[in-house]
Amino acid sequence: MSFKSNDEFLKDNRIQLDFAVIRWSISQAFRMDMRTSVLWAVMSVLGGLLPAMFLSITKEIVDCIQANVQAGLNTDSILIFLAAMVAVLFVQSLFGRIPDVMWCSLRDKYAICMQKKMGEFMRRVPVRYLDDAETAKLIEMAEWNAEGGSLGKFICSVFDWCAAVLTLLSLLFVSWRTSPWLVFIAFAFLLVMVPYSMKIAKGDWKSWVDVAKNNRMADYHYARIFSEGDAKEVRLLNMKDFLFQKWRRDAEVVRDNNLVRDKRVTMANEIMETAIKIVECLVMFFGVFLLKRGSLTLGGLTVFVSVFGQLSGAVRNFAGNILQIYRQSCELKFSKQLFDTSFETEKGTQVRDKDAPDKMADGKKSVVFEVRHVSFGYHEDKEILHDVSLQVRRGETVALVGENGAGKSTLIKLLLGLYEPDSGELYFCGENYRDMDTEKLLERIGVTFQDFVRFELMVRENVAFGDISRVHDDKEIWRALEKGGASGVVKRLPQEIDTYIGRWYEKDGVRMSGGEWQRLAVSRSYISDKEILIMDEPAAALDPIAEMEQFYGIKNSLTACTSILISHRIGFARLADRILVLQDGRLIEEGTHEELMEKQGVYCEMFMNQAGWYDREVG
Amino acid sequence: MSAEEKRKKAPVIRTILRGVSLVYEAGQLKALLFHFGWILTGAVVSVSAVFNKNFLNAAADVVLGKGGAVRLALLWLLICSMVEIGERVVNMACARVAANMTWNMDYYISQKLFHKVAGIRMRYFDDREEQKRIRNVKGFSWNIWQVCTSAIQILRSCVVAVTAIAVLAGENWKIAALICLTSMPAVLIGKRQTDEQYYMAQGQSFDEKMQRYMGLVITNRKYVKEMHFYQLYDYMGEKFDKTVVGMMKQKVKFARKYLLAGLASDLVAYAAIAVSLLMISVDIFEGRAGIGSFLLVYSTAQNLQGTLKSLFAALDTIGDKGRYLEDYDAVMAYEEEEVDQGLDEEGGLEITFEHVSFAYPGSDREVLKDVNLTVHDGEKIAIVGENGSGKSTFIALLTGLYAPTKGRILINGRDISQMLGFLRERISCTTQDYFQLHGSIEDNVMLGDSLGPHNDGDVREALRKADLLDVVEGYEKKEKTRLGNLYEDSVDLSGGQWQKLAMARNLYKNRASLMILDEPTAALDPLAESKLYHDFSRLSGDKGVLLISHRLGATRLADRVLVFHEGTVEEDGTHEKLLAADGLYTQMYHAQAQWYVS
Repeated sequence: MSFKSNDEFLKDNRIQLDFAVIRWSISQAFRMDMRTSVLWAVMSVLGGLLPAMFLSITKEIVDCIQANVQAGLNTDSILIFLAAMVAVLFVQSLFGRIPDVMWCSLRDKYAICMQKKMGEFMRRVPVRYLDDAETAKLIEMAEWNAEGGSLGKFICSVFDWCAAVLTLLSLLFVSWRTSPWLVFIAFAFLLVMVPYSMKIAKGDWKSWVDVAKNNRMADYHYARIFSEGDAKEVRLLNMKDFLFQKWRRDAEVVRDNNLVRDKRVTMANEIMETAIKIVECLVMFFGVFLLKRGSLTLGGLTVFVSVFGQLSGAVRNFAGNILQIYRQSCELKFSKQLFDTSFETEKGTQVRDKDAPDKMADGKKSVVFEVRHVSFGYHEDKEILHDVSLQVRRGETVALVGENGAGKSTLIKLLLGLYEPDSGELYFCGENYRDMDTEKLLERIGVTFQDFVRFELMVRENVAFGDISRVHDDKEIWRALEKGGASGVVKRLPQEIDTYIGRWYEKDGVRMSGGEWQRLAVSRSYISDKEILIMDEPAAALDPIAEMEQFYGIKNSLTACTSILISHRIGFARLADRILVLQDGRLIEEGTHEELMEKQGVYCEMFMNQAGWYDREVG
Repeated sequence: MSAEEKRKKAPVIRTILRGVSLVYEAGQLKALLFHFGWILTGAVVSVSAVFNKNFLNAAADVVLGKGGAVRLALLWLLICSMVEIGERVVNMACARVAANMTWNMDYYISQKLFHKVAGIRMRYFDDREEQKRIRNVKGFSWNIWQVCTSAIQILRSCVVAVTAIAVLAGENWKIAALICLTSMPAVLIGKRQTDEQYYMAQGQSFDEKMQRYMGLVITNRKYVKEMHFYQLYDYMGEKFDKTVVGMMKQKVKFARKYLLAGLASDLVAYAAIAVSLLMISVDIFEGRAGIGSFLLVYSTAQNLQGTLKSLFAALDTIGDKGRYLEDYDAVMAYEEEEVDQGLDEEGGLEITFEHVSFAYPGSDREVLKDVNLTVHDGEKIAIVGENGSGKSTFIALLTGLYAPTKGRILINGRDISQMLGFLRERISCTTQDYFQLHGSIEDNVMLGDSLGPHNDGDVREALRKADLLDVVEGYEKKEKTRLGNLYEDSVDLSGGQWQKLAMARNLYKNRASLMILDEPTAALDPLAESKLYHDFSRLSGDKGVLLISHRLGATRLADRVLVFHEGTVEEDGTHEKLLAADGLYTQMYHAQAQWYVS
């Protein structure tokens, strides 16, 4: 989604290469595939020598023919030169084609390796770092780099730039061999051409950058019209004109900018080409003069003819690629920064070495979760939980009740070990979270998240993610689906549990409604019959009857295990043995339904409020 | 690979003509014509090569010290220079005009598509094939444009090739024939390669998209919570690797195959050049030609080979990109919703369903079956039913997004197809997955009635009614605050806040006489939901209401309740009447109410 870094690119019109990033990027690339990368580097850089070689060979051939014509007939030596010429041409095609093949595989390889590095990073990053806006931006950029193949483009530009430098130098060498005059003129030519080309290339890029934001906005509004998800409201709300005005405003800026740029760049290029042509012609007159004086051979004259064309091509590559290098390294800076991030020593790692007798196996502890004076916030300036203390005992069902933003889901995330409290202590079966391997929690806890992820994979996988070792255990998956109330939905699907959901890549994938997804997500928590069950809004998208069935299903499962339940339907809290009421991150009430009703506090108010909708007939 | 993926190339001539007519339509014909200057200068390359030859011949004489040779050499050089500089100047002039074409065409096509696609009937979005077309034309206005450039490229290549052949034949006709013949392997291989590449890309689209998706799953932060807790990195990583490895292998194999074929065809072409040069050398030694001919043959032969290759590549591009032009024409021919000008009819809004059945395009399953009912003016109706019972589809038909497959819908006694404009003027509708505009809060509210009269007070009033004004006032830029990740200074709204914003949008349209709301409180917390329903009759005033909700307590506020079940209206009546009837509604009601029995 974001090309934000490009907005900054070339802002002050100056190129400042960050060599640390360049070194880092190159070493990354070489580490990913040393052999092919080296070979590619050698092939594409050496390819830079070819134009000069070619000029020399043509020169020799012409001189040879000239000599032969003067000396009488001798076709043997010309044959050798022609063979050499074919050989050079062939080498040229080798150098042209082989790097292309390598580029084809390396481009993907670099992109894939970068993505896997990203994946490794995401695996080791403690979840709380992701809530930091700075890190989030880095991740977004690094992700974009990985997917867009920035590293490949960067390496390609580096090699091409090296090749361009080599071409320039070798051409100067050939000119010097041909005539000292020529190298003098060529040098003067470069002095003018290089800055001019840089200026054109910079202006070109800058103009793209200037409208990057407009481009993004125009794309966004344009895409709304084509989006099937938005199609209904676009029509119902008569949004066409509104969106069109929005789109047009940016699209016209982009168009006008592009028109001006194209005209400018085209003209600058054309003027340059014409100037080169004029220089070429003037040089030729000079060549004839040298020829007459005898200080130049006819072959040398052919060098005079073509050297400027070759030089200007190389200069363009030189300028273009240095800008590319600059641009890509600006982008790769984010990846480097991200991968270089180190985190404070994570819990667990040092403790695991202790290898104390596995306390997790001790399932006899009567308190499953214990929260002692825990405070927590995603950001330093905003605390979500304030000094919360509570216990969840074995075999007990606890309902968490409270308004949006009261901290219910946050508390769950802490209990799942996804976050560490800012202060206070958390215990699981008597063991401090800080001292244990929180990954082991998964073996004992089944969970349904409120904002569960809808994986566009098979039904089978979506359910088995609760315990991935069961992914091929059909019986277990069906059992979980049954409990989650999803078996009816899944039985209607063409390939049952092997049906793909969503159409990201599988065009025959099925679409699922919110309610159907929710049933799958609940099934996910039932897999492998965990002893602890945590359900965060497991029925929000269901119709009344399905909702009731879902809760009865949960109620039946609850008898066997310890559980924590969250729902906006306050009535369901009655399923629980104990109700905890959170308000603004504080635990304000605690007790059974009857106790809390008697207390006439916040819970009672919430309950009565909802009950009010029903009590006329029922109460 | 299925037949559908083996999509044929577009016919070249027709594609070119269509491309040119599109350029004409866009008023860019002048720019296109200026390309002809560039087409014609294609001939200069070979012609100036001839002058160059004469120059070199004279130069050779200079070396030999022949009298008058210097003057001759300088004369030819002058001619040669004038021609080449002249060509550059013509190109410069043409390029200046022609530079307009690209972006003007891009804009023209984009805005044509914008107007078209915004109005096409909803059903096109449900058909997978049509959806693909719509997606094709969206990202590819550039392809349509490429057809035109390729057509011009072909013309220029023809000019270049013809003059090059003539020049070569002028030296030795056998050389011309040899070069033409030996260019063919490269042409054929190039064609095979682009074809195969296209089909390979089609065949790999599954793997490629899957790879992209798996890449997203392992790198995007949206997935982190699940990925961490369920420890899915190994599993997902393996899936990612599996798609990647297979695809890479196929690509590398393909690249190697064409590397060898390409090198072989190059070798043939170079050998031909060598043979030609040998032939011309013999001519030179035998005095039939000067030394300039050697360089002439050399440069022109290479030029000819390159030109032939690019000529056929351009033909290929046209066949390839022509597919998008076909898609463009197909999309431009789609039927549009006929929205009348919303005739200024006074009075109420009465909607009648007569034996309406409906199945989504491409599906046999009837989502609505024989629905008969009338929505009277100002009536407040609650719609309840199970997930998938047809409630949202009912709304989609009622608002004219789809036409019924059987039966008819009448608006004030007239068929809905003639009344779309009127109908849409009079309703304000919020669907379940309401539109979230990346833009200011104000714009988001105004979208509710972007064509109506606007004043800032109304926006604030709507926000106040939806209980969102306090939040908005808390922002520094108030209702000008922007939402969505397109902006650096944007704020994030929670799901509940977005839902209130959607409500404000609905309320903003004061002139509506029917409010339609599909589950407007799903993301609200209990108190907010309760408050909204309590205020509801005050908020809706004397407007009619169609409200889909799973909260059965709230339905008692309605004058009338419709209970949907498997596509039919199973029950229809007041809350009290339906409760007394002891049917599905009662069952649903008790399912929820039982939790509140003391």
